[in-house]
Formats: sequence, structure tokens, C-alpha cells
Amino acid sequence: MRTRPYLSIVFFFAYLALQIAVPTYRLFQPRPTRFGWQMFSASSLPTQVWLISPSGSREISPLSYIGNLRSDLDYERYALPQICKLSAAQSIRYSMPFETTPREFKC
Amino acid sequence: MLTLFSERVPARSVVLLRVVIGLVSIFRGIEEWRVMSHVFRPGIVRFPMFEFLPVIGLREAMVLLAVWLLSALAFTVGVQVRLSGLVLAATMGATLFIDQQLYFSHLYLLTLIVLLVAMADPENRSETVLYWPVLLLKLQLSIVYLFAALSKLNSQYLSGFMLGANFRKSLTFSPAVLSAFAATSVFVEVFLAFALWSTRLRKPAVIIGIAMHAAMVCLLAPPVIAQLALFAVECLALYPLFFIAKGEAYAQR
Repeated sequence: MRTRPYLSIVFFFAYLALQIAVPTYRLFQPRPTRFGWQMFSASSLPTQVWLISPSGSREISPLSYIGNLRSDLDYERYALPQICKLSAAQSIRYSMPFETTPREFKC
Repeated sequence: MLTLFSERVPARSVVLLRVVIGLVSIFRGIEEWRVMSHVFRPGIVRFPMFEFLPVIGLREAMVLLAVWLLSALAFTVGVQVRLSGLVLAATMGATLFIDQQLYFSHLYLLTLIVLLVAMADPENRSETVLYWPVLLLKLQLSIVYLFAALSKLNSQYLSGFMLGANFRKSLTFSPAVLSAFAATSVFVEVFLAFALWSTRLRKPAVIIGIAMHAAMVCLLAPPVIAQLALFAVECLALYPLFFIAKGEAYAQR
């Protein structure tokens, strides 16, 4: 019995199921996220960032410490702790789109 | 239904797709070297795609890139198309998981197109190819357009904020105009997801699709133009597949 046609059938439906299920799942997660075709749909990046130290505050570009800036980066989860280590700041204050009150991350 | 998996169609559109996508893969591989050189600099924050994955350094990434370029060359010229295509898809796909900064939707789409073209195996001298990978390519394009539209159904996008933030600096529009552009883009993407399948709407859909992609490239700011141009080429390269006439599909002899 030839197995190749059956492998084709399995691949076809598995591929289709994955390509529909993953973007559908991503629709119900905070935007934007990856593997969901959510290009330019939203941004999880701060618009302004300040490093807070005993000597005062210093504004840095959101591009700072980032190699390739993308609107879907998990900035709060990964960038803030590492910027703390790299900059020796006491805390990081940052503004997110559509929010009037800045957030603060304690190093 | 099962005859679908033995149906074959003329290969010419798929061979042309293979060459275009192969050239895009080569160009994109060169661009990937530039992006990686920025991401792997000392003092740059790393963004793991998944924390259980091993951390890849510059040396390992360069090996992946070398395999990427070699397999892309073979794929483009038609050497061992299925094998080179699968290797190319694997290497491009692997780079997507190295770091969030290396994820690009257009690269993800490119990976999927290469994978499916490899499954169709359009050698240079092929007269026909299997239809089911071609059907998956068409469905993939509709999936991209549909979910791109659905993901834009949020206040941040529909307010026009995202378009305003990404338009060229020389272009200034009122919030109402930006919002109208945003809503229009959603309608256009939903239209394209379905219209390409309609014999009556297919030609207008092609014109509208070309116009939409051209507008994105012309209106948005330089930092994202290259990504949008590649995305446009990848999408538009799939349009000819919708013109393979039903009568041309026939069962494998």
C-alpha cells in the first residue's frame, strides 16, 4: 500500500489546522503578537522612557539598547530588567500609548 | 475529495513563483546578516522567543545564514528543488525563533511559501505539479489577509494611531483621515481574502491588491519600507496561482 498519498493528506490538514488555529489563538492574546499576521495592528512599545537614579532622571530613546526595534517586542518583560543592569538605574519610568499616567519599573 | 491529492496543474506559474521567491530569499538572507549584526552587538537587550529554547550566539547564527544562502541559491536555480526548499524553509524558520527582534511576519510568510513550493517540487523542466500545495499557497494568502484585518479591529489601530506613527514624516493627516484610512485598510484586506477566489471579482481584486501594497510601500516611513516591499512581492507573487483555470487541473496519469 502506497503511503505517500496518505502523508500528503495528513500534511495538508495538519498545515491548514495549524495556520488557522495559531492566528485565531493569537487574536485573543494582548496585541501585537507574533505568528498571527498582526502587522502594524498595535504597539507594545513605550513612547517615552526615563532612567531614574539618585542624581535625577534622564530620558532615553525607546530605541536605546534595542538592536532591531519591533512593535511586538515584550519590552516590559525583557527590556526593563536588562536596561536596569546595563544602566545601573534605580528605576525606569515609561509611557505607553493611550495611557496618561507613566508606569514605573523598580530595578 | 481524495482526487484533490492526485490532481496536477501546469507548472509554469509555480516554477516562476519558485524563482521569484528564491531571489527574495537570497536578498532577505543578505538583509538578515545586517539585522543580526545589530541584534548581536554587546550591550543589546535579548528578547527570547521562548525561554526553553537555547540561546543562540552570533557564530551559530552565521552558520544558519550560510546554509540559508546556499540553499536559497540552489532553490532559485532549480537544483534539488524539494531538498533545497526544505533546507531553506528550515533555516529561515529557525532564525525566527532565535530572538523576538529577528521575527518578521514577511519572513514567516516567506518560510511558509518556500515550504509549500518545495512540496509542489517545481523543477525547471516540470510540465505539471501537484495541485494540493498550490491550493495551500492560495489558502495561506487568504489566511494572511483575513487575520491581518481581524487583528486590526482594536482601538489603537482604528483610531489611526498606528498608521500615523508609521507614515512618512512629510505626510500629516488629521485624526479623522487617519481613522478612515485605517478602516479602509481593514475592508480591503477582508475583500482580498475572499475576492481572489471569485471568478468575477478576481481581476478587480488583483488591481486593488497591487494598489494596496503599493500604497503601503509609498506612504509608510523608510525604516519599514523594505519589509513592506518584500511582503508585497511575496503576496503578489501568489496572485497568478488564482488564475490557474479549473479546466487545467487533471488527474495524474
